[in-house]
Amino acid sequence: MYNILKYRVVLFLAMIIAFSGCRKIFDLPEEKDYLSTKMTYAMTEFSPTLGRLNLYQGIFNPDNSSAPMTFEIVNARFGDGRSAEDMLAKKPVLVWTQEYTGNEKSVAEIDAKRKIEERPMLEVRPSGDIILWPSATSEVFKPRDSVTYPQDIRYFDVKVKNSGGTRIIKNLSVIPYREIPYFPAEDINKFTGKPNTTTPNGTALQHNYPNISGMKGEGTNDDLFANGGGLKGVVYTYIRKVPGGTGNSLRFKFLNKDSVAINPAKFNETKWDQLVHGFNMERTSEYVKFDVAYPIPVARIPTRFTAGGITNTLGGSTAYVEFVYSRRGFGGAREQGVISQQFAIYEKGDWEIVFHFKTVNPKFEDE
Amino acid sequence: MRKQVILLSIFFSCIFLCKDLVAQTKKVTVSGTVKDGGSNDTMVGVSVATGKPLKVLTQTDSKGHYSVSVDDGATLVFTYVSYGTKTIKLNAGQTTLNVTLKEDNKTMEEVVIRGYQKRTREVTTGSSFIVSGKEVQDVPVSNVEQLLQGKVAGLNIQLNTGAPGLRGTINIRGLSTISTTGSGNETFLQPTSPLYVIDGVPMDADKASEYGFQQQGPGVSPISLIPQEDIASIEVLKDATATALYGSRGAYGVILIQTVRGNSAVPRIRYTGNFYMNAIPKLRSILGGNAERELKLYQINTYGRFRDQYMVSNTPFLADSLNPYYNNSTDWQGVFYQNTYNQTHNVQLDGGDTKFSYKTNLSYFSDKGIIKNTGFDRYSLNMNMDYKPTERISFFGSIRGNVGKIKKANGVGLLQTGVAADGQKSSLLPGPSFFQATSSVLSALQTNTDAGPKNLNTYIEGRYELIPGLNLTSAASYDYNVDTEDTFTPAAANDQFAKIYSFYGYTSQLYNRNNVSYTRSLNEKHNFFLNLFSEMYIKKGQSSITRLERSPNDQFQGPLGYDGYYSRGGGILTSFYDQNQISFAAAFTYDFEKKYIFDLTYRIDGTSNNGNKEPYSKNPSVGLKWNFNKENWLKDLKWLNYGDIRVTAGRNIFPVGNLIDIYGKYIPRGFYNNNPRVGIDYEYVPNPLLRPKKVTQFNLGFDLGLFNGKLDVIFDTYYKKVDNELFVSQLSNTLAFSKYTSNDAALANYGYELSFTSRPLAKDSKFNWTISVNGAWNNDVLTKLPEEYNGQFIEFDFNSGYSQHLAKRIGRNSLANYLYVNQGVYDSTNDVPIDPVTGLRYRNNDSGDFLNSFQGGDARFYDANGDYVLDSRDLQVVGNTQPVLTGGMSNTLSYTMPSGSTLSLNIYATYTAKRSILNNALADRLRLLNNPFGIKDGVYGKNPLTVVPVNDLNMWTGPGSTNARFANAYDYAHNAFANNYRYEQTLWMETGSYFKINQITLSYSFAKKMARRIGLNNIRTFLSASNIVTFSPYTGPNPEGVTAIGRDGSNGYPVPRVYNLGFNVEF
Repeated sequence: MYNILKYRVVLFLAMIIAFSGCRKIFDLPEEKDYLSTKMTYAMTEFSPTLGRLNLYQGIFNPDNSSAPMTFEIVNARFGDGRSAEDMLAKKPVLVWTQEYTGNEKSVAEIDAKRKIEERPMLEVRPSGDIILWPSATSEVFKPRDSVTYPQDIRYFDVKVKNSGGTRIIKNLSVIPYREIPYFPAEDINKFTGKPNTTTPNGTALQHNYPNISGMKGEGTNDDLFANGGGLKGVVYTYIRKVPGGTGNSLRFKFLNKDSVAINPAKFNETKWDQLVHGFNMERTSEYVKFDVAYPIPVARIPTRFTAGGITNTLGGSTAYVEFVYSRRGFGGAREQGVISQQFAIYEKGDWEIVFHFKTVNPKFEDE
Repeated sequence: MRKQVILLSIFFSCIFLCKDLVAQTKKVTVSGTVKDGGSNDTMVGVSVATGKPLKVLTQTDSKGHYSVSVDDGATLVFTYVSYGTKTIKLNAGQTTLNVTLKEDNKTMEEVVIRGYQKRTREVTTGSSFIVSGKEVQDVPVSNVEQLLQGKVAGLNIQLNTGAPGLRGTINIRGLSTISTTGSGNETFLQPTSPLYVIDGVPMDADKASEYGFQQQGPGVSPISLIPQEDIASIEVLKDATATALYGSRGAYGVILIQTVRGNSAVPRIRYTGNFYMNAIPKLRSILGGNAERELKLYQINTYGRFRDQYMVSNTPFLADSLNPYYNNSTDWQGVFYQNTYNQTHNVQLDGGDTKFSYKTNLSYFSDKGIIKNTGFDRYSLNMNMDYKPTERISFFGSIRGNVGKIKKANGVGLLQTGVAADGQKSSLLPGPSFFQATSSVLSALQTNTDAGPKNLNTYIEGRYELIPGLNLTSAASYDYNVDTEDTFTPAAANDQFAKIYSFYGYTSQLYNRNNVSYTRSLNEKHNFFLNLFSEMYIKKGQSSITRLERSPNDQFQGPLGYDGYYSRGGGILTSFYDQNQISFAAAFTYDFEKKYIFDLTYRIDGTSNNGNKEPYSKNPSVGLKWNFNKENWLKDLKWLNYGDIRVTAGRNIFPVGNLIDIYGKYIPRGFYNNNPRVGIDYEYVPNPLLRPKKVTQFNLGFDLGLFNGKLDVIFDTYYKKVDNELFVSQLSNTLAFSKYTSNDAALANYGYELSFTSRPLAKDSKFNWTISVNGAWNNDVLTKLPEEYNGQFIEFDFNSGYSQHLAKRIGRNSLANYLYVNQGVYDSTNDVPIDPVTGLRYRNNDSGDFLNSFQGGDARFYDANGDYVLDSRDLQVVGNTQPVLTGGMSNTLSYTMPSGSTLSLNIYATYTAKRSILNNALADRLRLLNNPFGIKDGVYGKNPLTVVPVNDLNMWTGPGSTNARFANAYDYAHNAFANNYRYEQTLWMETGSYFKINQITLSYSFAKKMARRIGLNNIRTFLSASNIVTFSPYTGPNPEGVTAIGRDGSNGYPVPRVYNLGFNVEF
């Protein structure tokens, strides 16, 4: 009986060993995340404009590699091999925590929806998207010129990792444009940052023009155009910084052909409360000033303040202002004059947008 | 030389004369009656034998009597199929001997077949399971396969279509292929049915279905042509040693079917009739009439954009509620579905004695489908005969002729796409009536199909015993199968032009086997068995079609061809084949006192499907078995009836690939100098190195019989490796050819199988109760892909509209889904994550359009790569399309009344667990709400769809619905941007676990004397029901009615519930 018991025990143990842990015995391959050898960036040379947010989204093609993956910028260098790690230095930037809607009631409310974080100026996120934050300025990055020498180009590699292994995608490069703090910026030479001319080293300056409709020229009684020339009218838009202030304001100003301020109140049908997403409107006889959050628009979200309004669901990248007045025209018809401008301002500051009626003043009086 | 001759003659004289040298003894005449130990009935046709080797002297007559003349004190052996053999030694001078035989339940003494040779299970090492013919009666089915469901551990059968005459899927021990064709719900997994061997003739059950859902022709498997009444037993061979000798096609397992043989001294006529009803399973409930309109208007008024409100008045079926055309409540499903009443009749005649016996089986089977205009009829006549003029010579011959007829409405059989599309029509539209016809309805109901296979199979086998123990056998069979289909669609059903489709195909198989076997026993201790054989196949098949897109009128249904312009030709299909196979095999078995058994087989297979560089493959197998209950130290254990441990290993092949893969395809390539020329098709580069699929299997198992038959346990664990799996790789576009078929994929299965059978009651009880439970756990793992894929291949599906991609990743289950992960529903818009960089809300597709932003009530899709945009980069490999756990259980309780009548109750159940299926039926149901205007091709109201109520679902209804599972389906306008009900998401991936009560049979056998009173030998009547109820957490209609890769489309054929009343009468 003892023997039998012993045999049974041995048998039982043998079976346990034999029937368990099969997967190990069979030496089957373990499942790993997939990391394709064909993963690639659709774009390897980045030409962002400094001083504003540049997000290159959806440019990484993982070729069905298993997300999530980790991405890391490695080997930041210049074309001649010098280290270019300085572009990875962390600087404070604003990141969103809640969605901007356009219905916020104060600058503080907008600012409550974003916070300051330290982020590298050049960053790659887990999707492979490349971000150049507004903190990247020409202090660190040398802006591109009409000729860029290889030793000035900043190169970097991206290291992609998941449990399936590691791959390095090589030789991505950044050749940025210098800061252009606002849009439209026909008046800035994007290589030198100086006033733009029609021809290199020329003297004829380029200008920004607003959109004008329905206005009559004072004295000409003819339709007024933004870029009509001579008696048909020339109207420039200047977007420029105003000295002093808190860095959170935007004002609008109108100048007549003598460069004397026109009272904004003359644009009597302007919807002042829907002009910009600004608060604490201050209207003087020279300008209208708002407290605003920068950049303008703060996010690429269509609101009633952006070009096309909320029905332009693809828009939201530029703000839109419209100043309207009406007067009685010939034959007693009511005529409406509109001056409007699409714009964006990327740099925080105290800015003003000036509409300068250069040659002909608008006619506000009734006929 | 002379000496040798003398020696030889002495040797042969000894062999031939030794019988006669036995001393003469006194003869006595012994007589008696043989009774059934269970029912106490007399038994007809019991063989009475004596001597060594056993010689059958007689069989019992119709009253169970026998009378034999034997030596005084001889030993008599009584045998009867499926009853225990009784051996009784006569006392000196005994002349009466009454015997009772007991039904045999001992697994170990079953006769099994290995390499076309009968052996007892005790001395074979392979893993197999026998299902008796009795277990596959009582429920009328067109395809006997479906009655095996859940009866054999490791045999996974999914009854995924209810289409009459067509098959579900069947796999032994997990997945054997990763090859899929088609897309969407029609993604078709290459079937890997086991090889069927019917009375020694191999048959390819996949013949009709290997070309997917959109196949041509009737699509009836040859297995559907075998009447279930004609089946005596089915044996399922699972491991490599058992299947080794079926080598060249045995890689997917082997199922052996023995048909009934003549077995009665008195000619018998047995009649089986079944009268049954196919009942429509629960169809989906829909909102009818005004309720449908109200819901659509509610959707538009609540969620519509401005233009939508305006378009209501331009969409008459919504606005014009008083128009009688739009004021209906039509039950479209009811137009197509019906309950049907069917019958089957089977007459079996058999008779004969040990020298000559015969059997004829005549059968009629009819199954009208629950979808109108579908059905399957079968007529078959099967005959066989055994002829043994002497003990040493025997012949067996059989002929089977079967005709099937199938009606498929306008579907292709497995799918009823037309019916599914019509079933989705708006209930507001008027139904078909005397005044109003709908072309799609007509095409489903009036399409006239004349289709079906016609099959003739002949087989003859001769056996000669040269010297005792040395047998020569030669067998040949010829199988010819014709498939035809003629489909005529009347003009009213097909845009005013009648359409004709015609298919003709044939397959033939010539098969020959020659066999030498030798058994030898030394001192009753050392037993040897050697079997050598050769096998040869010549298989041919070709099919062709022709189509006439427009025939002149409804009266012109053929001959085909009046106009070249509308003739779509078709010609010979690429399913053409011409295969030759030749194999040589040897099997050797040695056992010591039946205690230690050693099996060795070796087989060389040459097939013309291989690349011509390596035509032969060599397949060895080895098996060991230890019957430990025969050990002296266990002999005394009363509770151990038998016990053994088996270890086997071996290899099998299956020819894959076709002639095109090996030799390329040559097509007409225009003209050169005005002469037509033929050139290679640049799609596939020929691969002369193509090898057959190789399946290597290791098996370890044990069998235990405990407590005198009260409990039988069979356990197996196995590792099955499938190498040389075909894989089509895309070639670089700088090469001339675009695709390359290689053998560079591989997968493996490992798992466990366990079967318990228990007969808890005492053997002499009036009650007989048998419970058996079995289960199989199978994991499959993909082990290899072509090198260049680096471990993962995604089979993208962009064309079907479903986008449910399949992922094949090394180290994981071979066929996974590649989907978006759904993590619930956003309770409110504030819960949607914001991209910290841009401040934009998480968006669908791309970040450009603000309307793509997710909002409260939208599905919470997992943003795997963290870019706040949901796109194809966020797809994840998830789920397992193949079931991991399958099995079944049966419960049989019978009671023998004092009168001798027997009442028995049978319950069969099957289960499947751990499988993910994609509930596209639910997806379709919710997506019906996406289009309240019935917009098609940009036209409002062109295709109004029905509405299925969704208020039973846990759907988001507003902020606060925190645990909602489904996004707001009513907001169709936003869904157009958010695509919450996309098909490619895990919301539809549900567990496919189910427990199904397959079959309940209540039968009553009248006592023999009662039957005799009305001049019959035996009467049995039974009531049965099948597909009775399925318990499942699955929310779709039927967790089993899904395709082989787990897609539950709404265009499948529902499995009907069947109620049957049947009779067995024996004259």
